[in-house]
Amino acid sequence: MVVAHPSAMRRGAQLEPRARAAPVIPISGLSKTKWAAGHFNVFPLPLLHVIAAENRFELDQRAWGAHLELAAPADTTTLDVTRRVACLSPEGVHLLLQRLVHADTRAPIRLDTLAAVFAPKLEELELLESWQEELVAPVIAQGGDVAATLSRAAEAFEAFVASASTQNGESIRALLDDPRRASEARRLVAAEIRRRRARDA
Amino acid sequence: MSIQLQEGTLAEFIQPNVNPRAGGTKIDFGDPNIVVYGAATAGKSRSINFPVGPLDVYNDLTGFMGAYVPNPDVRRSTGYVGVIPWIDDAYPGKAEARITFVGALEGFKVLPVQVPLFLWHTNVTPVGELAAARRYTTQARVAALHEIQRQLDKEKAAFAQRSIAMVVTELTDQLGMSQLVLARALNVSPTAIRKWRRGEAARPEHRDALASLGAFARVLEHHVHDPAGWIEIPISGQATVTPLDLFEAKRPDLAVLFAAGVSDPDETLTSFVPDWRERFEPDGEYEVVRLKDGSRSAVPRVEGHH
Repeated sequence: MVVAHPSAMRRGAQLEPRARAAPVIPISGLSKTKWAAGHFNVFPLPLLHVIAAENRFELDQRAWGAHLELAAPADTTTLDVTRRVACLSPEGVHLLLQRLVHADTRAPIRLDTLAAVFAPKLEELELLESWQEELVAPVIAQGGDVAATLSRAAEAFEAFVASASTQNGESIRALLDDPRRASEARRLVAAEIRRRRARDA
Repeated sequence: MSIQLQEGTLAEFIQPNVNPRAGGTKIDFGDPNIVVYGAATAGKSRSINFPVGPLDVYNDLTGFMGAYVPNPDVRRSTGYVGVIPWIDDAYPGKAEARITFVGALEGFKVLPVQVPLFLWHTNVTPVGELAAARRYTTQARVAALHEIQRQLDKEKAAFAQRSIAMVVTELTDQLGMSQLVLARALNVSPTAIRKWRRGEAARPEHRDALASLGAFARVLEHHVHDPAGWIEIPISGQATVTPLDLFEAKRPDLAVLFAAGVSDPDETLTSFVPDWRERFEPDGEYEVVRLKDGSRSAVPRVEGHH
């Protein structure tokens, strides 16, 4: 399981050569109450087998968890997008980061504080996912190579969000960094997706 | 439009037998844009039944938020009732207002726009006036919440007619609402939102919640420039609660009241949960700062440092 925080695992449109990852293994003796009070080196994934099944992967119905004590850099070239079993929700990302910080430092950081730190990045990743879904899916449906098509689309997205998109010369990324203007960024990205889809139709 | 009234007894402004409401009387204020009807029961007493009057005003003036404060003392003694100044201020161009008076007209006066303080306070103590204002504010708040709920229900019905994919697309692409926000507001995964966007079916309770969210956004558009951004901003610097939290807690009406400027942050949050200061206190240990490279970081708060 990749446990690197969203800002640390990407450089532009591409993944960093290495990202921190932790092994996912069955954890025994874990419960809701015990998790909250201890087991600081474990990040439980209680519904992993359910989510995996939704994504057409078969996993035993066991108490899975990421063993953070064994987290180490992993070569990102070994990550296969077609083998992604599950993906954390934004709240899950915040919980994981909270757990990681606490496991490493014993400093308890509130979830809303972590959410405020990572909000622009998660927003950008959400827009990237929409971009991929709207623009890449039709290409892959016609037989395009998944990894290569996703990579090209990610580069196009990176170029778009980094370039000036408003009359004042602000980029999408700059707008996303301002909570009062993030919605403007989303509208601009949605309009660009529509424009590209119409162009490619 | 400016309304200039003459000072005199209410009876002087009455033209009998014009009010379409049974038993009512049209009160002519000398301005064709303003028509006020009074239903008078002359000669019996000199009381005014305000539970009828102000509520009738709310019904006819959609979104009424004026400062029409009935003077409780006029029920008991000779007094004065100011009924007009807020119409022009709050509703420029409003063509018609209907106010129902129940009670005797004789002895009451319609005051000019600029009410002399000595006249207004003839029969009212400041404490009595404040008490009346508070009573009236409570009534007005109830009426405003009722009206907001009506607007929300109307918009929700319209959203419920559309396909779920259309609603999701409208909220995200047109209003700029985050899919993460949609997922949070409806208590579903972001993946579910994406599936709905692609046209996959949703459960009835999720369709209902999505229509409510659409209605919430549409009603907010009347009051704030950018509802999609506004709902994610904390209502007060003293709490972490956002308008989106109010929606999640099934109290979008409180958020709309706040958006309309009728409730201040304290009032809004106290209506939500009285102990909001304790329950939703901002992080006192860490604060989010921007580093030199533009990224954000959580750092321990330093006393006196902002």
